[in-house]
Amino acid sequence: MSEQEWYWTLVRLDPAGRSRVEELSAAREFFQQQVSQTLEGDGAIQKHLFNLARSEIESSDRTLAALCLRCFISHQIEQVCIQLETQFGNYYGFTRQELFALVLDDEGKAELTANSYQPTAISYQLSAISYQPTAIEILQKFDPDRAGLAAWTTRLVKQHHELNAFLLEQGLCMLSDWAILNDTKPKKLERVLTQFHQLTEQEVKQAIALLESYHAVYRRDRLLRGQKGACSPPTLAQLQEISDRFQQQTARSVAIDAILTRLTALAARLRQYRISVGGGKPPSQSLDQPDTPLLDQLSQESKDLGDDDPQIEFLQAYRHQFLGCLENALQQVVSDRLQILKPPKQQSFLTALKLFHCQKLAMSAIAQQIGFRAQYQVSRLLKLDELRSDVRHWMLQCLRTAVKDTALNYVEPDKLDTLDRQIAAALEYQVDDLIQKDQASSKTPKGYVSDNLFAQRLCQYLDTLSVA
Amino acid sequence: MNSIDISVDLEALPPRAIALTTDQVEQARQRSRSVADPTQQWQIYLNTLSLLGFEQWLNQRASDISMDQAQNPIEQPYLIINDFKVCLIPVESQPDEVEIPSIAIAAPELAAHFYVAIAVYEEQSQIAIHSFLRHDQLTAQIQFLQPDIDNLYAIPISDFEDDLDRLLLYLRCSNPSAIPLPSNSLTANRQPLIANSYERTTPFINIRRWLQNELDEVAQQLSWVLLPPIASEGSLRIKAKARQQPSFTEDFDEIIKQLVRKGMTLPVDTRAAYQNMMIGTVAARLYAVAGAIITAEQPPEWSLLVILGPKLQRQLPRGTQLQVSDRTEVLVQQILSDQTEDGYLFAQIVGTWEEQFVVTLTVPDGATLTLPPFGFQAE
Repeated sequence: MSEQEWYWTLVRLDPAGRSRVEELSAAREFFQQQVSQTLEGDGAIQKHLFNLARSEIESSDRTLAALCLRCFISHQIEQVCIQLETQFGNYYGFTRQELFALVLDDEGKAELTANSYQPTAISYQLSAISYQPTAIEILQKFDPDRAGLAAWTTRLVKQHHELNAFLLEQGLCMLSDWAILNDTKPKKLERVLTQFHQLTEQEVKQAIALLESYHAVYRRDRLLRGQKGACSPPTLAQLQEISDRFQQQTARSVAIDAILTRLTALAARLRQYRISVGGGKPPSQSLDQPDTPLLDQLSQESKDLGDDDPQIEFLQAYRHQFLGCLENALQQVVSDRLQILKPPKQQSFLTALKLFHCQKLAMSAIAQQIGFRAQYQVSRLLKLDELRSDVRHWMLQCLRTAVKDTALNYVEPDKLDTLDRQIAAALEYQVDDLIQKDQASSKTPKGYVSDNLFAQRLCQYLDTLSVA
Repeated sequence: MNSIDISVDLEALPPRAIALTTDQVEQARQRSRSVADPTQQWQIYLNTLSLLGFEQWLNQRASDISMDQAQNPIEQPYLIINDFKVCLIPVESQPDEVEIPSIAIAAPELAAHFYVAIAVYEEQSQIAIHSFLRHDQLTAQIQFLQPDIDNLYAIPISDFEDDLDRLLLYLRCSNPSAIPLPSNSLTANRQPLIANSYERTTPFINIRRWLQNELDEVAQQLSWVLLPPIASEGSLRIKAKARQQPSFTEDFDEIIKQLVRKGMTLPVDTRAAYQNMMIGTVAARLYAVAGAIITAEQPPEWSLLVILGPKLQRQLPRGTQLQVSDRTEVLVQQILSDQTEDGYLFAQIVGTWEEQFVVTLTVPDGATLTLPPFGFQAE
């Protein structure tokens, strides 16, 4: 497809939610008549169409000029969604179709006729439909003198409320420049600019004065006006006040256009730093790798505790109470968890817990079985580390009351850490070893694979639950 | 043509992030408005977001742990959890260090068993509990650090423990006495951290009477002295030139002028009064300046400005504290440091006519004085 076709083909959704390219013959004819072949580049074409759409020509022609631009926007929106899916979809468990449904909502409806002549912007009479397609919102705010339509579209898609909310639910956040500036203290800015960007003292001083002026105005107004969620760019009035404050502090006068540019540049520098320290960079590789690492890691933790086999000591010392407390703790923790989860998730939780601990299925396989899309959703549901911690904490409290041994009566944090690790190690104890050493455990039901104590007792408990 | 990269602006939200509801965000915003100073408002907003998010986390993660919500100062949010004092510190979303006021470590009233760093994603209405540090570990760390000019210790975030399960282990299985906190001999009969036990019927100082040029009974009993109406701008200016360093007890008008010059706004019609007092062994004077704020769109409000300065000596001791609370929490807390300009502490609060404010004064040796509430009621 040649690039010009973007101006007369509309990307829209079919009933199955897939994107489909539809040629609009009226738009094509209009484009070929009105846009001279001599116009080169998207910038020139877009400016020409934009001027037509708000000129004093026939209303139907204004509509067609705007429709060509809407077609272009639909293609750009599609590209943005595909880019998001390619980079993050796998890891965060979403597809381009889900994104399309949020932002690709222009059906190219004819009743969307360009409104009466408007010298400054393209406006629409929207009485015929109850919602405003994203593409039209984007077009209404478009100014070809400030940005190309592709960049403009990307920028507005970034600010799209529902899209942001959706990505946030998946664990991705879109941080606006303004949020980054709000988030940054002058002291941190100084550090980043001096150490990371190696700016001069004078440059850093000015940047701090600018940030402080920005904070004073933007933060105050955000609270005053009760603005929540995505931060919009500062208004002209805000920029003027920031400029005034900056001038008071530095005795330098900076035009408000330049203030905006400087603020954006400052945010870009902070963003570079954020990316370089890596904290916020979302992984783009799939998390759905084989999950042996988690199991390995858990058993590794117990191995790290040394060769003295502290499990044995601990277990042997408190064997009787240990198993009783473990069972109590499992009951307590699992039922606590069930109370927090909402009904459809309760069963998924129990099933997933069983599949993981008793059938040793991989997280990705569990996801399939319980109808989840990605492995990370299973991890989030199970929160295995938290589960184990909670069990240990309950056990520690239980053992204290059950065992009349001062060795357990520690409250000092460091000794508690040791006790906690000892219990963790004991829970990793391989049950078949235990059986060999302990006649009493002949009561252990058959049919369990060689397993550690934690998994074995958890599975026993889960069995009683499914009977009930 | 499609080279614009959307992914640059995307960051991974920490898996432990907690979403706040619109109501919670609004609550935080409202709370921030209880302080007049815009630079403090943002901090209080972040503090409240942290507090609400942390409470939500603890309720979800460990519903077995009891939490006392009664004492939540917002200037530096604290929680009492299973008898442990936990101090919450909002930090940047990608913190390198955590700033802790030295007084929040050393002062018996403010020292906490645990300091918890909370990353705030304001735009996303999310918080993430980042990490924590025990008081004993913190004390060990600051041996090697110097506080900055604002008396803040900057603790590298890497010194903080990010295994929150360990925090839960301590909260569940340890005992507050296992993590000793600084104390002093006065602790036993000290006022509670926040004076929040005042009931509606408790006698209060009705400042509204001042505007009618009279003191109510409570104020008279406490020997408040009503000052003449604040001088007009013109006469202030003449006096400003006459003296360089205003005396706290003699040049009240000049002190007000200094504050106005720093950006404080006072209602058009205000009256002021003062009381001399002993806080432990420290002689001090507290000015209170109040007036009504009436606008078309809001319910009528009143503004209270309190200024604490020395009475006899040249300066109040370093570490002297001025705290203003409403019924449930501390709204403003100011601590005198070497950097405090002009040697006095002040705080301005705005509330509705139904609201009352409690002023608590503390000096470094631990002595505390809590005044009866200030109110602004029609009689």
